[in-house]
Amino acid sequence: MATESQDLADIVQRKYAHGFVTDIEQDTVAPGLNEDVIRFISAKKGEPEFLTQWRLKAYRHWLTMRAPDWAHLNIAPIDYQAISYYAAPKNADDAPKSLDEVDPKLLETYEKLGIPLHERARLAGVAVDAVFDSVSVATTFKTKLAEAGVIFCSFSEAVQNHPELIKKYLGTVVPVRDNYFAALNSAVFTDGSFVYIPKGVRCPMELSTYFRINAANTGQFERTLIIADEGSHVSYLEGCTAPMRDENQLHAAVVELVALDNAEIKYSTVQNWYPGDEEGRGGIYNFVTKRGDCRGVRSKISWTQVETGSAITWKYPSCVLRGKDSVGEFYSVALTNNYQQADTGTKMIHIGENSRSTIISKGISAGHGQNAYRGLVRIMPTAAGARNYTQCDSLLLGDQCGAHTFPYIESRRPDARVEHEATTSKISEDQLFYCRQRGLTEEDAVNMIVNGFCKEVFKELPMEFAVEAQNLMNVSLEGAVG
Amino acid sequence: MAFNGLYKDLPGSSAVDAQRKDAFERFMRAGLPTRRDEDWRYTEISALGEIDFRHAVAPPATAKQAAHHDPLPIRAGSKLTFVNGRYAPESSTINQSHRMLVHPLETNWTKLSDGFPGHERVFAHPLGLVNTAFTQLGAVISIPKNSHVDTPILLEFLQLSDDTLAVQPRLIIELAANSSAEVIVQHAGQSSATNWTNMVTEIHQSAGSKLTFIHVQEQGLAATHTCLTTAALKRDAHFSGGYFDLGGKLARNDIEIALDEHGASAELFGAFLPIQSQHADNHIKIDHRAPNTTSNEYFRGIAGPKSRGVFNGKVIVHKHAQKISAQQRSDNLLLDKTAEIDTKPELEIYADDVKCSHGATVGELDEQHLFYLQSRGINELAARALLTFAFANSSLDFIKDEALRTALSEKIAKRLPQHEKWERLT
Repeated sequence: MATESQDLADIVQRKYAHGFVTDIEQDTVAPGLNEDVIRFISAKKGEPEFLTQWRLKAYRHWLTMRAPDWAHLNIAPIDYQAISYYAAPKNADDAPKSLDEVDPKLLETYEKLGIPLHERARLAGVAVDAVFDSVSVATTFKTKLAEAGVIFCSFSEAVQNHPELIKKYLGTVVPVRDNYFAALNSAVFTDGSFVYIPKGVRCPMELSTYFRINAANTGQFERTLIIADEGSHVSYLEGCTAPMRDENQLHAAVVELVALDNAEIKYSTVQNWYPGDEEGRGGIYNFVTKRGDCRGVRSKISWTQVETGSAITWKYPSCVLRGKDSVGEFYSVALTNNYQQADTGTKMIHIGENSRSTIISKGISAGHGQNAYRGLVRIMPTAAGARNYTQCDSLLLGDQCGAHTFPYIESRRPDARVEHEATTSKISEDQLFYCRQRGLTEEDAVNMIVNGFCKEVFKELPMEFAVEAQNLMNVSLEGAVG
Repeated sequence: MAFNGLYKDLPGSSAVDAQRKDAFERFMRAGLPTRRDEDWRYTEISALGEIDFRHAVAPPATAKQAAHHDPLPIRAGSKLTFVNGRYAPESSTINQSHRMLVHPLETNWTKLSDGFPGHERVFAHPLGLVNTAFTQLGAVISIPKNSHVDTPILLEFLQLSDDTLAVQPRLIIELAANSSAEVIVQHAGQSSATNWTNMVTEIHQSAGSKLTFIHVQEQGLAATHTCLTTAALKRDAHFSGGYFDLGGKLARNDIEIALDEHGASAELFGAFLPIQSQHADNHIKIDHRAPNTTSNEYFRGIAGPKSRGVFNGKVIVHKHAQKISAQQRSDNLLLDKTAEIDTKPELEIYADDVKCSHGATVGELDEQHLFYLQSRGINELAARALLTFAFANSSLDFIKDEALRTALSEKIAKRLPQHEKWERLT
């Protein structure tokens, strides 16, 4: 047992593998936030007037709001004036035409992260719109997607090339006044991804964006908008890693999904940002507003997330089930180790007739981690025959961590059925004993049991992500028991 | 609300007076909770502040007036009756063997020479503050070491006046080591006045004690009923609490159980039936503060037209409280398109060796169950009514006293729509 504890200790001490910093000169605005900064960002990106005004409206409303304090989180006060709201790689202005023109240092960074950008991208059949800090630097597979009529580009490009779509859909799912962080994002967002799938098109490949936070003191505010027109289908992958850093970095993204009649959007996330060190110093603040709007009949939005990183996660990917027979899904694995905190879950708002939703949430707490599931299922009086099934399970590894469940269920329809189940437990001695008896080390046994615990969620992930997710879990979890 | 200096003229000891003053001042600073408070998200009581309640009690009704229209048919060892906010000794009986155990507050303020014992917990609650400031009726029940009171102690609170009364009963139950008792509280009286009952029950259980506590609320349909129960359990103590809310325009139960020592256990069960434009809210908080403690919650809610049922069960497992078992069950039926159920079964867990689970459902009757009964020749209406009754009735399974169970079962049946349809079958 003694040597084993030593092994465990080694693994627990394992440093964050993706911790490194690429040194690139930044074209940065001085820290601070005011209307001039917002105008600067907007001008820098050459945005049309309506967007500048929209940003300003969001900013003015943000000034009247207070940071939310209802989450089960312990957040050190954030000085919004100490953050620099614009950082773009310096040579972004003369945008690279191909990968050869991309700053080799960037490519090196991607290389270290193992992003399939080069040939690997082709092999993996993945189009990558990689965001380095705030501005997109390379986009591949444009042609193939263009043939299908799919628009997949950075948000800034979409503003230039498809302002009508931006004007029509931006802020319709997450209004600028929605919440504190969404308002902040609306005011200062720098870039993100934009996807439009035209009528009846099944997107020929899985779309993927890798985000990476780089410059110190730079909050990253992405804005993602995905529109699936009638009868279309798209699967979108989002994954992140971040370099090691001592200061807290704020990340407040907004993701809006719109699914029209018979359309389907599958949105998968693997989030592995820097979680802070063993003492809980540093780490990313991940305050994200993600919401999907099932506007059309028989539309479907499915969220899958694996959250292993970030010091603090505040994230509730939600579905507004407006359309008749629309479907919302939420599959989540959230892991908190060391001093990580997570308050995550979903909202399913049933408005349309026969709308259905499924929530599967798996929380794993280790070390001093605090992990909370917070979910709302609301059945409106119009949602005849609506159906919801929720299962949220928590696994506790170690006696210093916490697992919490805050489910809200509000039903106003007698013919709607809502079911909620939750369990909290630790890995039983019996399970461990069984595995050990068959020659597995305690580490392997725990890994196996935890992966089994998460299986329902992992099987929803696209292949490449599922592998990555399992590895992530193993790295993050080994040594948590002992 | 006519919250003025009234608390100054109320009975008590000097310690109680000081508590009243403190509670009143704190309440005036905090005010009534609003829906912005997370704990009051689904229940709005701020209207109480608008009503000019009479805090001074109405003249006591005569024994004849106090004749109870719908008493619980149980062989109570002792019965304390309170009418219109005042103790009615002529309607009360205290069993000879209970004389040393049951003390109506009106004549026993000396028992509180040190003030209300549980005031910390009660003070944390806004309505606990109101009760502390204004209470002038209730009882102290103290069961000595090793004694087992084998007949139930019944407290009836009857509202028979048409005045807008604000009645603030306080009940203090103290069980010494290894004692046991059963206490039943019934709130009744078909007064049509917009009266308000705001009760606080403090329970202090020593090691190895066992308490069964049943709350039956069947007030008039204009009445507001709020009630706070706090219980603190020592080693191996057991609390069994049943809450049945059948009447009232608005009913709200706050039940806070602290399992303070090793081996303490609590079971909470009940049914709430907001059927006729009513609102019923059960808020439960169970604190597992020590290892090897267990809790079990089982609540059934049925909401009818323009009614709303709320359940909020919160289990907190504190650090170092290992070997915990906690179960929660909240099942709810909606009978109408204008009905609403809001349920929130929460878990907050800071220890790892726990087995906690909760389940919640909201929906309508199972089609298969209906089909089963219909296939046996029972028409749909009767089948629905019967299944609805059975749904609520299962919450009575925890009650051991058969007479009480039958009585409650009948009361539940009468509250539900179309009950005559299936009763004819039997």
